Amino acid sequence: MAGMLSETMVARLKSAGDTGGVDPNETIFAEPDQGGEGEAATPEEQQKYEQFIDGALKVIYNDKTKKKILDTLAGSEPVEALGGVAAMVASRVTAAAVKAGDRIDPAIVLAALEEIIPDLAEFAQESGARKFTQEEIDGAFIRAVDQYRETETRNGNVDPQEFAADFEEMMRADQAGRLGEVAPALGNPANGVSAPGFDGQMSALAGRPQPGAYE
Amino acid sequence: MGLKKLFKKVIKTAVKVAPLALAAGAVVMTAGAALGVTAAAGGWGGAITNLVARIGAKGILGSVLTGALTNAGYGAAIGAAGAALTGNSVSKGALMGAATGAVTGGITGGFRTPAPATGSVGVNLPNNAAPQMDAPGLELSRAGGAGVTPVSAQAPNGGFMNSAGNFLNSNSGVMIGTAVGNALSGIGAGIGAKAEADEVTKREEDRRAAVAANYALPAGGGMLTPASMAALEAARPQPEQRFSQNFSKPGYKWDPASNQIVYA
Repeated sequence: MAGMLSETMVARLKSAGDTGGVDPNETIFAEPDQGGEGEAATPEEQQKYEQFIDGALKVIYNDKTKKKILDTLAGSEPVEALGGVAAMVASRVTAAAVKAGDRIDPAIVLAALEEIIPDLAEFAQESGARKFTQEEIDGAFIRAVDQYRETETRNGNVDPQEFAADFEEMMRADQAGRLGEVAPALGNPANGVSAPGFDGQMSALAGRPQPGAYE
Repeated sequence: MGLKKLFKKVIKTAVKVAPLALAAGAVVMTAGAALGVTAAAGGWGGAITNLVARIGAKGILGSVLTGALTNAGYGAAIGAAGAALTGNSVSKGALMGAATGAVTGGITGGFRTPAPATGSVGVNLPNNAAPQMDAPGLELSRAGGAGVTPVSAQAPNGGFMNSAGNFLNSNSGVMIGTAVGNALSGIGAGIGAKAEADEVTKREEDRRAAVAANYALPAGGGMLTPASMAALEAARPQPEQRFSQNFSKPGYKWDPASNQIVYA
């Protein structure tokens, strides 16, 4: 499946005039997901995922659209621009798939946005349109997810009922102080998320001057 | 349903979305869908307030959402709910900027800009810009070049999606023209303000010159010099010249002999 992307990606790299030392014919595909939580995608899901990415790249790097996309990325507020363009691209691909009688799993969209947003950011930078910071890229991902969710809920392509049970479980876990069990990344102190309250207050006080500091 | 599935990556990029932001995105997706958050219904602010009320003080979900959404530029949409929560130092790294966003109102977000009733979505792509996929079940064909139906083109409220679409529509030239016009009028205003400031400065200088002339010494120096200071010192009355040395002037005094106040 990886090969189906080569034409678009190579065109992009060539049009950007800089392959960054990467041989576009060999190494840009099929980087395995390194660890993380979640279940492995089935071959069918992986195929749909790659089709989704391919569709997204075709929307982005179409000769008739990429200039408008670059203008948007350069001209608007960065998080809004990057997140909005990514959400638009994802919605456009979803619409095409739905029109063809398919359904897009939101998990595919989340994983795709994880790739599309950095790609858009690098495209903007290579083209001299704008350089996005890491914080802007992270914010744009969250924004794109939310905008996609709202748009596609209205379009009937995201079913809120499918999320209700997960959210109830999330809330129960949070009430019981074990959110980390259902969302490990959020329960990991190494990621900077900790429970508010006494512990949080003590953490905030950690930087205060200690007795004798001024003697 | 599980939002986190492990796919083989397809695009190789130097930058990545931070893991915490990925997790936060999944939470935003789940919570937003489950709570039915929409811009028209008051957005995330009310949803987070209700969520915190349900979970109670021990929960961190509200803080996580607040941090994530603030990082996404929704500071204003979160409003008071976010301001209350971000005091708890929700996160670092990928969710950094949460507190700042809440305080400053964050970045202008789609939730803050009511969208027009109709409009196109995102970039106004031409019909032939739609992705063509040749795989079974996901073929994106168009009959007669009709193009892919614009996503949510009839959306009742589209937030950023609509506003971005408007910006990118064929009237973008008008937008640019307006922007340039605003910039030019701004420059014009700046020039006018500078001329007015120059006039005020000139009046102040004239006034100072007049005052200096009024208080100038006969020599016309206008400024106190050693010579003029010496002249002033010499002309100034000395204490013995200013105060009488006669301390026996008549007046009312206490006379111990008569035990009365007398004039003497």
